[in-house]
Amino acid sequence: MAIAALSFYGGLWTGQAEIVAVAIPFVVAVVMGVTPPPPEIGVAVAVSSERCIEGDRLEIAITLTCEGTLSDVQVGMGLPAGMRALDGPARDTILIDNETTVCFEVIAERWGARWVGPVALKVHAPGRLISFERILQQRILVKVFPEYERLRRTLPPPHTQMYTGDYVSRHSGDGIEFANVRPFSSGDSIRNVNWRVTSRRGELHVNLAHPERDADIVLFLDTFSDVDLGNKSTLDLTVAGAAAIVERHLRHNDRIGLVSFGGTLRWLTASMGRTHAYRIADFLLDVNATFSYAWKHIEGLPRKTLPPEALVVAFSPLIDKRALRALQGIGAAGFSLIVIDVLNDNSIAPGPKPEDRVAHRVWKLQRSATRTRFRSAGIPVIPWSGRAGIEAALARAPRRAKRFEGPVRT
Amino acid sequence: MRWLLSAAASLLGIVLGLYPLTLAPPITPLIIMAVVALTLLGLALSTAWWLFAGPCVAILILEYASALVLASGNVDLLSPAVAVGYLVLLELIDAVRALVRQAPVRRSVLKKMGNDTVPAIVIGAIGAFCALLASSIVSGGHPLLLAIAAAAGLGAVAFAVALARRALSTS
Repeated sequence: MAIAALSFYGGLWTGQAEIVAVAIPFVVAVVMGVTPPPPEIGVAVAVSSERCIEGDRLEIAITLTCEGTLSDVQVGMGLPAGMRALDGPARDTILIDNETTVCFEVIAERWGARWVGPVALKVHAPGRLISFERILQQRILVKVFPEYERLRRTLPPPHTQMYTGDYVSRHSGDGIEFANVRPFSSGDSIRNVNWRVTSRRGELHVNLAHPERDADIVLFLDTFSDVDLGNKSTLDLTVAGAAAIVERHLRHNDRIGLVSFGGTLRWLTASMGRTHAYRIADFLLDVNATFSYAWKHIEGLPRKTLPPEALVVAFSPLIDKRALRALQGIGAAGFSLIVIDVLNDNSIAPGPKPEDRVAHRVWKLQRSATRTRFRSAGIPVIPWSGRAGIEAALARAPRRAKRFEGPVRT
Repeated sequence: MRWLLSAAASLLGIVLGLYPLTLAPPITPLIIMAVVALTLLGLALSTAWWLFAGPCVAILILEYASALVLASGNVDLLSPAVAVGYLVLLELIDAVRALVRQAPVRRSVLKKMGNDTVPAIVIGAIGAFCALLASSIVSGGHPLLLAIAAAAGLGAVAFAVALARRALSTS
C-alpha cells in the first residue's frame, strides 16, 4: 500500500507516467487482497486413543471443512505439558478443499489427565495482505496412565483382615487350604465331615482348613513438593511406585486405599475389585503438587481412610515438614509404616559457588539425620531413586514392621 | 524449495537493480542505490525478515524513478513489466518468509499462492500499460491531466479487479 501510494505521488510529482504505472500492480494487489470476507471453517478434532500409557504415540486428526477452496491456512494444535509432537511443532500450512484432514503424531511423555487443544487457525487472504485468526476451544481429554513395573511379590502385611483374600491364615476355620482333622463337635457343618477318617475311627471327624484373609494397604503420597530430577520428578516416581503396588495387591485381592497428602488433601477409602482399580487410576492421574502454606494434619482424614491394622506405604521426598509430621502421626497412631524416600540426594547438584557446596552438604546431612530419626523410631526408610525397579527397593522392606518406638523429632 | 525461491528472487532483484543503469548514465548515486537495494534483498532472503523487503523494493523503485528523471525524453515501454517485476519480487520474498517463519508449507499451498497472484499480475500489467497509454495521449499537458488519466486508469483497473474477483469467487 505504501509503495503504491509513494509511486503514484512520485509519478505525479516528477511527471513520469512510468512511475505511476509502477503503482498500478500494487494497487491491484491491495484491492484484491483486502476485500475477501472472513471464511467460515468447521473444525472437528479426533484422537486415535483417549487412554494410553506413558510413551505411547497418538495421532490427532483435525478435520477442517469449508465451502470451496481456501489456500494458505495455518493450523496449530495446542499440546499440554507432557505431550510433544514428533515432527517439530504441531502446526501445518494446508489447502482446504471442501474437507481436509490434518494429522499430527504426538507422544505422551508424562502421565496425567491432559486436555489436548485448542485449535488455532490463521487463514491468509489471497495476496497475504490480511489474515483471519480464530482459536477454537475444541479440546479432548486424553488420559495418560503411568508406566509401572510389574511386581512379582506383594509387601508382607503385618496383619490380615477378615475379608477373603489370598493370604492363608495360621488359624483353623473355614477355608480351602487343609489344616487338620478333629472329632466332630456340635455346630460343625456336615459338609466338613471327613468320611474316610470317620469310618476308620468309628466316630465322626471333620476337616479343618486355614481361612483366607486379605490385607489393608494404604498408600500415602506426599504431594507437598515435586522435585525435578532431570528426566523424572519425585512425583513421577511416587505415582509409578504407587501404581506398581496397587496393581500387584489388587491382583492379590487386597484392599487398597490412597491418600494424597499435600496442598490439596484427597483420599480414597480402601476397597478391592476392578471398579476400584479404575477409581485408583483416575485418582493417580489427578495427583499433582499444589503449592500451599496451610498446615495439614492426618486428623483431617476421614476415619475409614486409615483402616485399623493397615499397612501404610508412604512415598515421600522427605523435605516438607508437614509431610514429616503427618508420617510421624501415622506411626504414633500404631500403623505399620514403610517410608519410601523418592529423592536421591546425589541427584541434586550443588551450585557453583563454594558456599553452595557447603549448603548442599548441610542439606544432605539434614536429610540423613531425618532418615536416621525415622529408623530409630521403628519406621523403615527405603531409598528409591528410580534407577533400579521398585521391586528391588521393596525387597529391602522388613518382613515384619517394627513397633513404633517413640516420637520422630522433625 | 526455499533455495529455489531465493535464487529466483535474487535473479529478479539483480535484473531490476541493473535495469535502471541501462536507462541513464551509471552515476554513483544510482549504483549506490542498486547496491543498497540488493544488500537489503540479500538480508531479506537470508533472514526471512519482512522488514527488509519493503525498503528493498522502495529503493529499487526510487532508483528506477531517478534513472527515468535522468534519462530525458523517451517513454520506457518496459515499465509495465518492471512494475510487475517489483510485485513478483515482493511475492517471492513473502513466499521465502512463509517457508522459514510459519508452519511447514506444503507444495500445493505454494502452488495455490502462486496461482492467486497471477490475476493481480496480469491485471496490474494491463493497468500499467493503460496508465502509460493514457499518459502518452495527454503528454505535454498539465500535470492535472496526468492525474486524471491515472485516476481513469485506476478506475478501469478497479473494475477489472471487481470482475476478476467475482469470477474467482464463483469458481
